[in-house]
Amino acid sequence: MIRLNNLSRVYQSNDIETTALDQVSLNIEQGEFVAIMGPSGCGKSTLLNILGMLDSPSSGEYHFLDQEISGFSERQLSAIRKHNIGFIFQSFNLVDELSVQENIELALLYHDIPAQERRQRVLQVMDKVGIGHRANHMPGQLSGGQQQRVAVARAVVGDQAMILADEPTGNLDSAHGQEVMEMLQQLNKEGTTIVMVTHSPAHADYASRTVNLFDGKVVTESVKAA
Amino acid sequence: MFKNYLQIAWRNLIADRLYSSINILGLAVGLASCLLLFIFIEDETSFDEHWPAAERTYLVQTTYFTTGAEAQTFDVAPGPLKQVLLDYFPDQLESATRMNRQWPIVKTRNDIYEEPLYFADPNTIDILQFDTLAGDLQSTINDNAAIALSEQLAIKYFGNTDAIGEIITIESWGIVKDFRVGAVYANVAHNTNIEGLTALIKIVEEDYLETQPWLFTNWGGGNNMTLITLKPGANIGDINERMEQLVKDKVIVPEFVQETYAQPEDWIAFEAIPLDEMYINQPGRKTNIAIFSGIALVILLIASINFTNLSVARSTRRAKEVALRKVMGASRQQLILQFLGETIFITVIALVLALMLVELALPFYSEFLERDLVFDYLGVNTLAMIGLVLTVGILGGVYPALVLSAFRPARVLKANKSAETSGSLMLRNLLVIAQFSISIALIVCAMVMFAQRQHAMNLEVGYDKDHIVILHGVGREPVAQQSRQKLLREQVLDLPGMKAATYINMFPAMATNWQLGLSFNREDGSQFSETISFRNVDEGFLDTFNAKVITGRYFDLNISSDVRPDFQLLHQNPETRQINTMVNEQAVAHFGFASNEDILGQVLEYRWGDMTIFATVIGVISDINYRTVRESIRPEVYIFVDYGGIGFLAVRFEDAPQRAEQTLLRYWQEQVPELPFVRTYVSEVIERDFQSEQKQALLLAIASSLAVIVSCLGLFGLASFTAERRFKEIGIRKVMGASVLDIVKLLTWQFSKPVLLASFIGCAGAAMLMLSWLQIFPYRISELWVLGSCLTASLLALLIAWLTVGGKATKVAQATPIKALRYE
Ligand SMILES: Nc1ncnc2c1ncn2[C@@H]1O[C@H](COP(=O)(O)OP(=O)(O)OP(=O)(O)O)[C@@H](O)[C@H]1O
Ligand SMILES: [Mg+2]
Repeated sequence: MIRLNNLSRVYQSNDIETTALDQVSLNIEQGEFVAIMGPSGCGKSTLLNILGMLDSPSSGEYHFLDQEISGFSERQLSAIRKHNIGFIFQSFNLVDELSVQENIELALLYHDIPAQERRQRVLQVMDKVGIGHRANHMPGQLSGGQQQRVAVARAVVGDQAMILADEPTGNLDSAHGQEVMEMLQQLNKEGTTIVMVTHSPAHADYASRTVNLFDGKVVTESVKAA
Repeated sequence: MFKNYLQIAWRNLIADRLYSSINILGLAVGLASCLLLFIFIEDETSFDEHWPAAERTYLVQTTYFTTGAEAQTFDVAPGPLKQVLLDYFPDQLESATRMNRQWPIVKTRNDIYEEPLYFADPNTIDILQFDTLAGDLQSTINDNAAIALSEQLAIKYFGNTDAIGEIITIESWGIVKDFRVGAVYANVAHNTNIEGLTALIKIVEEDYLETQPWLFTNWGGGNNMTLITLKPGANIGDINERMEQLVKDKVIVPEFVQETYAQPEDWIAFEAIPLDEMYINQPGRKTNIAIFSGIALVILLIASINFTNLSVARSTRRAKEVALRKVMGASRQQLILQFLGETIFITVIALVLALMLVELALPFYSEFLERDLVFDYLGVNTLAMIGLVLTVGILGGVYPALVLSAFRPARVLKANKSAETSGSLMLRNLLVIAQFSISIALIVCAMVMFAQRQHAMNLEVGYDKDHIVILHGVGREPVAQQSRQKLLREQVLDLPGMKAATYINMFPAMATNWQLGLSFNREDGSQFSETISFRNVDEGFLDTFNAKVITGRYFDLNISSDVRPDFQLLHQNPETRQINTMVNEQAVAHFGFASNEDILGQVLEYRWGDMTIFATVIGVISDINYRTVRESIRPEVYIFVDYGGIGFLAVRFEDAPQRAEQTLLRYWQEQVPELPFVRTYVSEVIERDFQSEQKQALLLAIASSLAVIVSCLGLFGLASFTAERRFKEIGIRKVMGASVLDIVKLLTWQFSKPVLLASFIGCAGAAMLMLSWLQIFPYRISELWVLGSCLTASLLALLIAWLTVGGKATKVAQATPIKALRYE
């Protein structure tokens, strides 16, 4: 599904160049569950953003579904993203002015789904992640963990082919963390490709493969024995 | 402390370039328009204020009473009045002068002209003021055979101002004299009521004593502009109070009206009015000034609203600075002062920019208004500028200052998020609505006014206004004689391309008019008595102006009672006061006759000076709009004259105007070489009649465009600000699959709502105003025009708003979403 070839991302700010990703080559197949690990600042979020086409590489190739997309316009990228990728951000990225329900609905809003069906699916997902009772709250009125669950709900409601999750359990206690992981695993079993950044080896165990990053380079890849 | 404020103000300005430039630019445009309108208003109110003793200078008006008709007042007076005034008020009057405007034929060594110029008493150069460029003005105006020329005329005649000693031959009122150029003076400023001060010649009464005594010597005439200056301390009220007694004591009723007016006070009255108030007191001037002041204020208001709006929006971003200052012990007053200081600082920068804009625009503006306007930085204008800065600075700054200084530090610092209150959001929306309502209303007004002018100008007047040319000079020797005028008309008709010709005393399409008192007894015994327009016509009138005889017959030169006898004869022989006359359709209705046939044979009594003339109606002429189209067609009566002494010849031609003019010019130069060829097209008269209003409508259009531009500038600023504030949200929406178009729609709709609401308000207000304004026109555009203008203006405003916001929104929407998500 994804093929990265010598992909680099260099940040340029005030004369200082930061190489966040350095010649990364990586393949991810359809239906895989990949965990990305590594110390803080090693480039995990950067990699995820590039995978999700939110950011573009400085050099190297990125093939998505056998298309070389590094030359694509924002509009083309947006179209691919819309139909294939769901996101869970490290910092939630909920819209402060919209309620929980509306935030989740956002993921369906641009997909030509009738309002009735949208509501149905949103209600279902909210129940699944256990925030149904907070449907009309604003993000500012929720705890960090609750916000995280809203973010998860928003990522899965669209039934995307791939979910990119940046520390989806970072703000959750272990019980809730477990729940989120099980949800992701369930989705994976149903065929969704999942790429997840995590600091927790226990959560990385849910994945079928773990990629270790260090200073922007892939250092080891370990495939879990089936 | 102050330095710190200034530093912060400056850094904020630099840091927020977009906000600052929009603010400053919008304000500068607003201030510049305001100043330009102010310059215009200042000029309008400055007429005749620059003379040495302007506040003590008065013009004497003359009123003539007519039995059975309205009294008429003129800005000129009979010749003897000046000396009578000086003798009658020796303690009050410092000086007095007469200025007699004439249109003589002027021959220089190079060419020949018909030129308006002044014959004046020597005192004129003391009461008015002239800057001598060459020669000696004092001795020239005291010299019976010398002329003083303005720079403009010297250049026209001799190519330069070095004209001293040149000889000019002037023929006026049948008197031909040579004059030596004794002085050249600088052109007189345009802001005076005394039109065309291009040349001055001393009045020599003896020259006219024999042939034209009415000009200066007896009370029978009255075309001398008479100016007086009072001694300091003298009271004009006292003088005006004693004017009636002066008339009783001094005025001698001329012979030709003695029959009717035994006492001079029944015939004439005088009143001195301040010269410097004459212009502004003309009808419409003050309304005009009010309108333009209003527009200036509105533009300024819109610019200030921008200012407030953007400051309020931005203030949320400065919440942290305010909170920290408060923590450090700043009082609320200090903060308010700081922020007010900042807005005033910005206003000063905008003012400097505005002054640059004004200087750039002034030459075009002057040319457009046909005035030499300057902006004087000293005096009233200094005050005006300080006033502007303080008003706008405080108006624009007071709300943000109050809001900012009221922030609670703890809340701002802890929450670390947008401190925007719903109140400020609401205020901003209200201000945007106000701005656009005003702008849209202005556009609607400008469009309707423009359409109405255009409509009036292009109105069907009933005759072919593009193919009638008026020749001047036919009332002068040697063509003024009856037989010669007759011959001239026939010769002109024989020229190729000429269709018809008629002598006229008044230009078509002008408001000026000749009237007489008309009365007759109705069948029921009641009397009809009114002042009515009359027109002298000849054989060519119908053909030239495309009029028809509807009932009865037209005048015939062979029927002696059709032709009006000349004045002398009428006077000497009362038997001749029985003539035939015609009327137009309007008159038939106005006089109360049921049908055109009914008026035939009716005898109308015309009051003419001191005579009554009995005129029998022989026919009815179709209505034509001979006079200005500002007014509906009036009732008119027609009197037939057999040529002689009439001022102008109107010629209808079928060729292209240039061809016709060439033909006429060639004829004129052959047949009347002693007179200059001067012509006016009727279309020119109409255009000139509407020129000032046309320009004002244009000025209004420009002003309203400026208002819209400034409003949009503000909208753009707000859109940018909002886009920025919603940056993260936009990023998230995009990650969720929103396309660029979705985002643009989202933002555009947010700003369309206030503009739409403003359209309703603005259109409703403007439509009401314009519909009642249109009522004053007899010929007006249909009400649908107002509706159309409303729709167009609304669409225009919406379109501009969309372009403004859409541009910004597109830019934001196209950015890579990660930028938005990183931003916090
Ligand atoms: N916009 C940016 N401009 C400059 N440097 C950046 C930018 N974004 C990230 N970096 C740098 O790139 C490197 C990788 O950042 P990234 O956010 O990918 O790290 P991470 O692995 O996700 O860390 P964490 O586990 O703390 O989330 C860091 O050194 C960071 O400082
Ligand atoms: Mg990270």
